[in-house]
Amino acid sequence: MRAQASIITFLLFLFCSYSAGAATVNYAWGIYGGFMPSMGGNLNSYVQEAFFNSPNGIDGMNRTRSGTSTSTINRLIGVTGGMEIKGIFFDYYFARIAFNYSKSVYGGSGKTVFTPDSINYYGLKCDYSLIMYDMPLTVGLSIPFWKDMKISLSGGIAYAYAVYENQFKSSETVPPFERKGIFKGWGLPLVIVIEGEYFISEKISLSSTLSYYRGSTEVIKDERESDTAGPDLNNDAITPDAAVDFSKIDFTGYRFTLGVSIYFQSI
Amino acid sequence: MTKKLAFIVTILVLCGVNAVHARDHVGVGMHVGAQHDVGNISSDPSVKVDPQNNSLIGFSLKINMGALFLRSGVDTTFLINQGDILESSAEIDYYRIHYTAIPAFIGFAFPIQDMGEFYMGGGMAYFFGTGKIKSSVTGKEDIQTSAYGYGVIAGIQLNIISTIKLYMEWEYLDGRSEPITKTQSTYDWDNFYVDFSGHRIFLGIMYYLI
Repeated sequence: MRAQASIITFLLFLFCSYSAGAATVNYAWGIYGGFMPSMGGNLNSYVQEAFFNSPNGIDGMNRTRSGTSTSTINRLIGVTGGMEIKGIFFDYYFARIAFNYSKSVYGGSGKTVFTPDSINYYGLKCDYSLIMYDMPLTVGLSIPFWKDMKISLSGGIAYAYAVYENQFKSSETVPPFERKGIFKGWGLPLVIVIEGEYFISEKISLSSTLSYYRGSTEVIKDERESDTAGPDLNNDAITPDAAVDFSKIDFTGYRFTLGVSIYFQSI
Repeated sequence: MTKKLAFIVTILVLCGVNAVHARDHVGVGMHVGAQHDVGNISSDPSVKVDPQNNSLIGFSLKINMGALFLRSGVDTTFLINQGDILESSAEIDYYRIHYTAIPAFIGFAFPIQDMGEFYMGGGMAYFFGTGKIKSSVTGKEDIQTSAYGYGVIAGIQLNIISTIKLYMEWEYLDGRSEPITKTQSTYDWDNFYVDFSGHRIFLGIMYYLI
């Protein structure tokens, strides 16, 4: 927690000190919303590989088998929204700090099949969800074209915190079981942002932003420890199986947003 | 009857023209492009692969409405080289995937003085894929599947003359089919799906009708 506070303080200090030293500055704040395809990547975890035969998370969990009811488990699609503060220095130099909230809204749910011994096959209900908060700080260049548009390209780092949950449930095994994993962690993904702004008045612009994040948390241990009742899935005569999970949370991916920015001074 | 039909079509076209902003255009284009690692097999950590590459030909439709744009079209791929599995626990020898994609994107376009425009957007695509896979489990097998993908687009357009523009686009789409065949001898299930995810680059010419 202290490390997180230090990083946030450092990012704010960096942004403010950079702003204070500039002679010609125009600031803007904005709000935006959009979507994230493949949020969280393949959501791989130890339990999926060790007990459900999938080395590549949600992608490998998808299987069909005659006589078993299954449905496709799609990767997560998230909605994202946030607010930003931008500073433009000497007309061309650009710094941006933002706060984003993102949540999975589509995908991550379906039915598949697994086998503990390649002889007996059981249906398995899978559910995945992800919530993410992040604060990117980027610096770069802003290029004005005529008086009604700007294109900005910037790169930097973000502080990102996420909560990833997975759930695997089968009513066909003896006894039935339910496994939930909750992973909470933070990371410092690298960020590239390209933003276009179209000015509809001297101080208000419509913006369109494409961001790419790359990075993940460290490996995190599942916080849910009460889900221990269930069968011996790997026939090692020791239960519970699949009760404790380990996973990274992957921040890597693209985001597309549309928004509005309001400048403090006329452009 | 023909006159009536012509009249209705004329009215619809005029309505369509009036629906867009005075500065707006409706363009149709043709492009060539390529995609590396078709099938995205390299994302499976249990597989070492010489990835498949495809060339691509497509037609595009772009509608600019003020700052907003809509981009659709159809793309179809042709094999450059098949994907070969070098060492694998997935028991696949090679794969060849072709697909046709119908994308639909929405976003903002930004004019760059009088030279052209830069645009970026988000959206989705429908994929219809066919191909062949050879595995030690089922031998050579023809495959056929479909999927929806979601992603982003960014492009730049350069004016050649007022109605003809050169464009270059980058597209990233993420989408997978349901499992369609079996490539693991240990298990009695279909596990192999076609992954349409990946980056695509296009270079083309667009003609603005309006």
